[in-house]
Amino acid sequence: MLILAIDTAANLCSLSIWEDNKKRAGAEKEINRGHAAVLAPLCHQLLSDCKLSLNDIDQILVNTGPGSFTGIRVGLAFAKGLASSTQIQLNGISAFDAAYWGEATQNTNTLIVLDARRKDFYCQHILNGEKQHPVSMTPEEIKAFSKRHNPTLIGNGVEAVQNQASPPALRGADSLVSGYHRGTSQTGASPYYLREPDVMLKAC
Amino acid sequence: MGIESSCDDTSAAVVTSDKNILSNETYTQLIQHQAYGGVVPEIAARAHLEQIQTVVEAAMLKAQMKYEDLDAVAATAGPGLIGGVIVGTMFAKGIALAHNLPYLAINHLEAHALTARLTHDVNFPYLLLLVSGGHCQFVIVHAPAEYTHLGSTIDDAVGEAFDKTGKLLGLGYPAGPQIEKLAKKGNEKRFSLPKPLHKQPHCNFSFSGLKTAARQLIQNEGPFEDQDLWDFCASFQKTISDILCDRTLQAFQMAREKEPKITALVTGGGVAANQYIRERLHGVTKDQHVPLFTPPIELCVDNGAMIAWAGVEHFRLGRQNSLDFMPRPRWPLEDIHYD
Repeated sequence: MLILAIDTAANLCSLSIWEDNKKRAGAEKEINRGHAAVLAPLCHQLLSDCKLSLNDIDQILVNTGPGSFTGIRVGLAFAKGLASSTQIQLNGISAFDAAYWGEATQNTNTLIVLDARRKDFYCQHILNGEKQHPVSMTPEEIKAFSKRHNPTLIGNGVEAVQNQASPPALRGADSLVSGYHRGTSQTGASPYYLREPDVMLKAC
Repeated sequence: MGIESSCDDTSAAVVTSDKNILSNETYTQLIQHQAYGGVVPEIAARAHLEQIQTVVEAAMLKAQMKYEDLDAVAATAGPGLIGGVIVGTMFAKGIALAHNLPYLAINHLEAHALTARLTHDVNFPYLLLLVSGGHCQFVIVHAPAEYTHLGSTIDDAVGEAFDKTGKLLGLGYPAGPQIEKLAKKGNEKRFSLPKPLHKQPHCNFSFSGLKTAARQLIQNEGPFEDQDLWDFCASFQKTISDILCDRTLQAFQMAREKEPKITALVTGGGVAANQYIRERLHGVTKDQHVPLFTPPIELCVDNGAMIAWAGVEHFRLGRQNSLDFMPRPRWPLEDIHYD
């Protein structure tokens, strides 16, 4: 089975093609913005480098967030355009699951810390394999939480919180495939924003 | 195939080069924004992503088309609310890549400018009056991607003047169609409102003075009884029409200096759906001895068919865009370039 994985939820514009558990090829650009320009040509290039057309793909995976609102929509809209017009199965993987299954080993007490491009971070605590309710935390709150629970910190926000982080075994699109093989994906792929739109009801 | 997602409508259409609209399916988000009295960009962007697949699939089904039967995919790439524009653009790029189809990045204003050529036999060059909630301008349309800007609003768009005044009257959003309806029962000579820039020798618009005067009048004379409200709506609509007619006269003078062979006046945008304004503009074009072309209401408001048609206009000139086209929140008509 051929899998095409797409991750634009954070600073990476990342694509990879896997044949079951084996990676065929990948393409990745580290950009902070401009995913809307980079993604489609990068996907085209990757497919033609592999001498594949989209018809050969059996499964599309996409990172559903949380992350950059725009990044999430770039990836999901593109993946939906690809999948719905070809009847290829589309599954979404959350950024939390991707980060968790991108690690070489899964610690039973883990705090996933994702960059929210704001003062606080998107966090999810995994305790004894159980996912706790995701929350937003400031760096101070993350430090206090760590003192209390002593979890292993993983995710793309860790470096900003504690100034050092060891890179994951798999990142970007590759980590989505890892999560997919662990059965954490959701069919159809709905965006996972975590945060409501910043809007106030005006007195009309 | 054409996809539109630059404001609060998610729309997709299939249009043929011989002017057949095979489908034009729209999901409008109005209800999601009504509580806020205007379009909230993040809410709009989320709703576009929720609806896009359903809308595009509905358009394909209605047109009885398979993706491999399409010749090209066009989508609004700006100007507009960038979150929504990105959704439509990326969905279109996905279809284009999956089926190896040419992709066309369409300027939303250009789509309005060319719509009359989908519904009528209009030849270049013509004078365009584009009036909507976000835009208000005169342009000479020489050819696809060839425009000369003549004038535009120096403050609010005309649709904004309708909406903001309607809000003060408690009419909800969008207020234009309701003002038009209520105006039918009113006396248009009852209230006198200012006409900024009247008879000035250029064709820019200004509506902020009118908006302020309307607000003061509503505050001083209100609360309105039914007849007051109807009279006010009629007077307000008449004043806006007077302004548009006066500005159109100036625009004809300026346009003919640059392009003596102007063939017609074409209107586009949501405000052009107002029947009273259409009739008043018809009076102006009669005096100018040219026809007035106004697309039907469903094609004046934002829709996928006009995007598909703009795609047709460029595609038959051998044009297409690269998949790395970056959607643009701002994109003036004069900045459309093809290699």
